[in-house]
Amino acid sequence: MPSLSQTPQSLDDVLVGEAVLGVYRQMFAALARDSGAVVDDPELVDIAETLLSAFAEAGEDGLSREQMRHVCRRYPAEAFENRLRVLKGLGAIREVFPKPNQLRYRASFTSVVGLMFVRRMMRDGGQSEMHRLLALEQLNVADPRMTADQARECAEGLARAFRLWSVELLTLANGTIEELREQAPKLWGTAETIERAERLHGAILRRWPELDRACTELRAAIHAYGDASRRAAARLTDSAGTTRNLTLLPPETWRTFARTASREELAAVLEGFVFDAPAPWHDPAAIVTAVEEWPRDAPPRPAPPRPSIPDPGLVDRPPAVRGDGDRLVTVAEQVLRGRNRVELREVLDRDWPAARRLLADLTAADLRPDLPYRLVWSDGLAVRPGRSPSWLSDGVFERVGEAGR
Amino acid sequence: MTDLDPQALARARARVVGAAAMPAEEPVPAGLLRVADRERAWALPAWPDGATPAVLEEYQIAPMPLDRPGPARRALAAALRCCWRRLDDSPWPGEAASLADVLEVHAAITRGDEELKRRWAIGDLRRLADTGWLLLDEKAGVVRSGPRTALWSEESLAPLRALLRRMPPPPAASPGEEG
Amino acid sequence: MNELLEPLLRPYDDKRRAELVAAYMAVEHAAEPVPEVRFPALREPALRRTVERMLGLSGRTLIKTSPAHWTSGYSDRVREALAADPACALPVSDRAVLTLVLIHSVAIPRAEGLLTDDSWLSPYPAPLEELRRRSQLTISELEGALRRLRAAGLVAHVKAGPDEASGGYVPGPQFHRLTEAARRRLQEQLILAAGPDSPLAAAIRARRRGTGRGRA
Repeated sequence: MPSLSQTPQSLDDVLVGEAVLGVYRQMFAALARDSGAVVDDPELVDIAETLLSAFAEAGEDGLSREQMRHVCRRYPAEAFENRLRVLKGLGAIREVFPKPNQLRYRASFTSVVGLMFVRRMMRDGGQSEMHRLLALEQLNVADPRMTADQARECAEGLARAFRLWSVELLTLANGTIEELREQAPKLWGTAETIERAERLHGAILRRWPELDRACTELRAAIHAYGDASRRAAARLTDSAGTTRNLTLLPPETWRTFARTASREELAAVLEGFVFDAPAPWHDPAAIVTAVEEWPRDAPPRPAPPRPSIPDPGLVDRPPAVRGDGDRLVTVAEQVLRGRNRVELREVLDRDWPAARRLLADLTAADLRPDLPYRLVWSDGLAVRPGRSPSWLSDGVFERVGEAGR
Repeated sequence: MTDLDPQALARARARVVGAAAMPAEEPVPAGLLRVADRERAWALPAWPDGATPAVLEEYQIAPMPLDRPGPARRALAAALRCCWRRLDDSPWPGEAASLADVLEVHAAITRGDEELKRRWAIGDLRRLADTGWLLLDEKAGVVRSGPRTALWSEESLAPLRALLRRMPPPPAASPGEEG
Repeated sequence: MNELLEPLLRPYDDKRRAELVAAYMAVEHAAEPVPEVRFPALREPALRRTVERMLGLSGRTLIKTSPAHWTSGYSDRVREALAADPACALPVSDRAVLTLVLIHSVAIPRAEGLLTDDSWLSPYPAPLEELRRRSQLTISELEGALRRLRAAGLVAHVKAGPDEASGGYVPGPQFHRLTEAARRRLQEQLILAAGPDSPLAAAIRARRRGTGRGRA
């Protein structure tokens, strides 16, 4: 884009400048308050947008003044008149006379494009514009009609854009974290932006090696921009807060990920985390309360629909109650606590009724041929006056068969 | 930086895996309660000074939320009525009982549509088994007390014993067995 | 008697000892962070250090969630060590569904500027229907996982009206138990997954490479 501040050198320049300014005026007509300033009320932009869509629907007949007023009926008359005057003055809406004495209006294509561009810029700060521009220039560079001068202009223009972008980002990166968090996503470059810019740089340099100076400048600008983006991102990554950076990806990015990610991709997010297993506590008192409060106060309930399929695991199988052996095994294992043998004096060291019951169980386990335990008595007997039990025989309770494993 | 204490790590791991059983021969980290039967062992928390999570109630602080606590506890009571037959002993390890008996006792202490109650009860028994309060073998139709019942302190058991004595016995029970 | 904690508790008189045990049980088992005003052993720094050491014996640490409120969680090093153990990982479906709940209930409201507190808890429930329609997961997978996640306090069901279906799921009370580093890691993991090309993801990767080298 030519710089507006340059002094025109020749008549040609002046004419080119005027033509460019004409396009500019049309592009930004939607945003102009009067012919010299930009609107400060978003409603005025809405009027322009409403009008432009009405023109698009009207086709080549255009609209009459009454029709224009009708589509803008929800806006005050004064605002509407102001808009119409400005849009006419800037050439975004032109008067045509299809028949004598018949005044119609038509809209300029450029204004519509301009408005679309502006809306996009407002939304994502030029990120996607930059993408489009890079894609377009990539095509141009491959076009046989492109000249070296045009390529230089392209490289210089992009270098300037990247420089300005970096400056803005660095200023932000040194400001408050809140402002950085709000603005950075509109400014910083994604890996893709930078990759595209580098590809474009490579293509220009290959086709026009003589442009190496412009290309060096472009490469430096791209790197500076990459650095600035990284610095802004690093500052945000290091910032306080443990959820605030989630705002740095737009809602649409989150939605897309949730919608399209596979089970494994979603699950990978929680790699590296451990959580407690469910461990509800049922206190004896709470169990008593739960049973006693029920069912006396329960209101009668309507009969629910019957299930068509019996619950799995209960299909007409006579439930088999396992014998006493199971209990003996449990007792034996409690005594052994993972060991293969245990001294009886150690396990019987408790009050007499409990010791007697335990000894009876261990003896029973010993006598059962299907259980892998035995009691082995030795000769010693310890008398322990005043303690319980008052005597203890030496002996061991042990696991058989698997002892050597 | 000091090295991570492997015992502390093992105790943390026990909280992550919860009531998952391990082979009986595997050692339980020191400082945890070892509860075991023939093949399996469980590493459960050992709390100081006889405290249990019931202490939260004294401070009017909510424990982790539990879906349908009432029905879950009635199902647990029904299972205990069948598995904890010698009430003078500890509830753990208890005895194996048939699932059919447990459902029968459950039906007797609750009210409502039989089939629906039964389905809810099975769901509740499954969740009690998932969290170590019961051992449930649905295929064999067998229920047993779970290792977590070994965490109850002896002093807290009296009202529960009294409740279970009042509850209807499982159909097959012979009166002589009652403790 | 508890062989593990006894050496830490022995120096205290009965009253102090009971306070320590109460605070220990409360932070380990309460759903929500407990207020220190109710627990002298959390209020007084010296006693609080003892609680911290009691927790440390089981790989746990005290976490301050808001001024004067405490809970407990796995210490960062323990979390890292256990994360390598397959037996300690949640099943794939459960993790996938939990991630979906975090995105719908926290990340999107946050990106839309609706959430202001820097917390992983959220008042914006993700409806089951939304989770089903806008994801690759099946309804049976979602329902099974949500039931397990609910039992573990990893998600909570919020009712919006009298009708059960009108509510949705939010992150559950276990999210109080994440340390600052764990919460930060969760944010990073989400950004890496959803926006791998963003400059933020690049900065996160660069920092992780840096710390990885520092540790080696």
